[in-house]
Amino acid sequence: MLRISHLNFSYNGGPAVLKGIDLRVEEGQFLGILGPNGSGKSTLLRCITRSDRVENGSVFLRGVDINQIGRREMARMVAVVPQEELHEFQFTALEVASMGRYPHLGRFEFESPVHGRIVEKAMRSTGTWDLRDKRITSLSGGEKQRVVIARALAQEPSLLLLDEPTKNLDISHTLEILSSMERMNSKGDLTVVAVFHDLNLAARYCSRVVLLKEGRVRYDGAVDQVLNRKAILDVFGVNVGIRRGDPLRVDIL
Amino acid sequence: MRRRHWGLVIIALVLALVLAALLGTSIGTERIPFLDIARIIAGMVPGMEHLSGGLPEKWITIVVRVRLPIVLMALFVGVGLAGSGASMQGLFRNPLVDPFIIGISAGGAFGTVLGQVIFNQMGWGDSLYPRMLLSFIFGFGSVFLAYSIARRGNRLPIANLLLGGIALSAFLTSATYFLIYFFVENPTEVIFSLMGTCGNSTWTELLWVAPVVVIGSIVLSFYGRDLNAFSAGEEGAKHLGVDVEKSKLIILAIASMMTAITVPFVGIVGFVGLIIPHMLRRVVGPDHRILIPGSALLGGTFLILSDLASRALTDMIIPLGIITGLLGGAFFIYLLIARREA
Repeated sequence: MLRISHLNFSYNGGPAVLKGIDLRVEEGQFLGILGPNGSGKSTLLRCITRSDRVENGSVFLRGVDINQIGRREMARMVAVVPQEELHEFQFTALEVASMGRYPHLGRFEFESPVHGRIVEKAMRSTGTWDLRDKRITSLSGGEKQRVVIARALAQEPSLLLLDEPTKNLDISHTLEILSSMERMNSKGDLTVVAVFHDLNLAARYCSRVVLLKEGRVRYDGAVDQVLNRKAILDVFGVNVGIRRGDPLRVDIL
Repeated sequence: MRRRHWGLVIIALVLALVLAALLGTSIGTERIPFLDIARIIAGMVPGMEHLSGGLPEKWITIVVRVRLPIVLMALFVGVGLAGSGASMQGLFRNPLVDPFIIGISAGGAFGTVLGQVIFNQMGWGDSLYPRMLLSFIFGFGSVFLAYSIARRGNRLPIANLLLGGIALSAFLTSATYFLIYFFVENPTEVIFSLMGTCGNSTWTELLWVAPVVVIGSIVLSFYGRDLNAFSAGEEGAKHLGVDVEKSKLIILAIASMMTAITVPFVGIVGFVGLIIPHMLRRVVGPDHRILIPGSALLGGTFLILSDLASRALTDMIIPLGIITGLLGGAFFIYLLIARREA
């Protein structure tokens, strides 16, 4: 699905933020990217979403160099959920979610009922259908974020990229959103790559985690292999206790 | 507002526009009834001259030679300014943006005077083309510069954008006065022509303004979905599949052109692009696919009525730009206060 090959990145010739990242994400994986602040997690995500321009031959989507993919075509394959989105205009939740259909519509085309049904499905799966006539500016941070996720799902992507998507959500909505991601992911038609801050959330939902340190992939593998005391001490510099089980628990000591 | 009501909105706005145009043509020193205006207009069609038969020759002259060009110029200038304002508000995702505030009008005025000065100094004769061209170049240049100054990485703080526009406007206005002061023989005439007035409009001038603003509004309406996507920020719009840089350049160029084309003919008419989309958004919501064509139509109506007020309120003719400036300036202050409280 996604292949990153020896990716180096720095902002405007500054110090290197990413140093030779190699990563393969297979179809259907739920990959968590973890690491301390400044380790390059968000930058890595920005490189995959082409928010920052990467060198040719560094990032491939289904075997194609992402610099060769047009924006519309890319948006039909990859959807992005940012940490937070600011809205000035009073679009309704339904209107915002419908914007996810942009890459599927021609300039002179109106949304047919098919598009409407796809948007409805995306909103139902994020629990935002009942909010559809509310103005986006009147929603709480969590509700707004769920509408943005509905918009991403309305793009019908095969790869969903999330940058700490539950940062502004309370615990019940966090679990609700991540569970619905998990459901879609387990059906096999959605690959998910998400930056996490919370190790336990990552442990609960990801099938695989990557630990970044100083712009390098330090550990990479299944949750119970990677999330151990030694690795977490190495990457975060913190002593933790690990409780094996399903899900695995990381306890701050 | 649901999409199935959009047709009704457009029909209502067209009706209002036609009514305003009839009113604008009817009222003046000589009052001419609506029905007779309709007959005179029908009589302008080749082969239909008999329809206006029997009406006073003086009325026909007033309608055809004087009032219709004025009313239609006000109409199309309103279309251009409001359509331009609605799309720029969407592009910069802020309802406080207006082609006048952002510096396009001042750039257009500088370009217009510059073209006139160069051609007069060189003795090259009529300067209409260079005035239009330079108006566009400087209008587009100022908005692009204001945007580049204001942009902070991925963010576009509105205060920076407004301040950038204000600074550029102040600079260009001084530069315009410099040109007028040192190089223009009849300064009062030029200054008056920049104040914003449709009083001397002719059919030939309309042939320039009308196609630009009408085609511009239609094209921008088809960029409505792109502009909606811009509400997620430029970064968000990219992720939705918008070719952000290309769309931005096209929308800015067309919006600048729609404002800049009006300056050489009627001068600076401010705030129409601020007021109209604001009012319409309250009725139809923020969707740019209806907001842009709707604003264009409502802008035409608004400017015909403003022009009528500039002619009919007092015995004197008050320049149109002064009327919209007073109304719009007050409205802008109201918006700033309302936002502070929100």
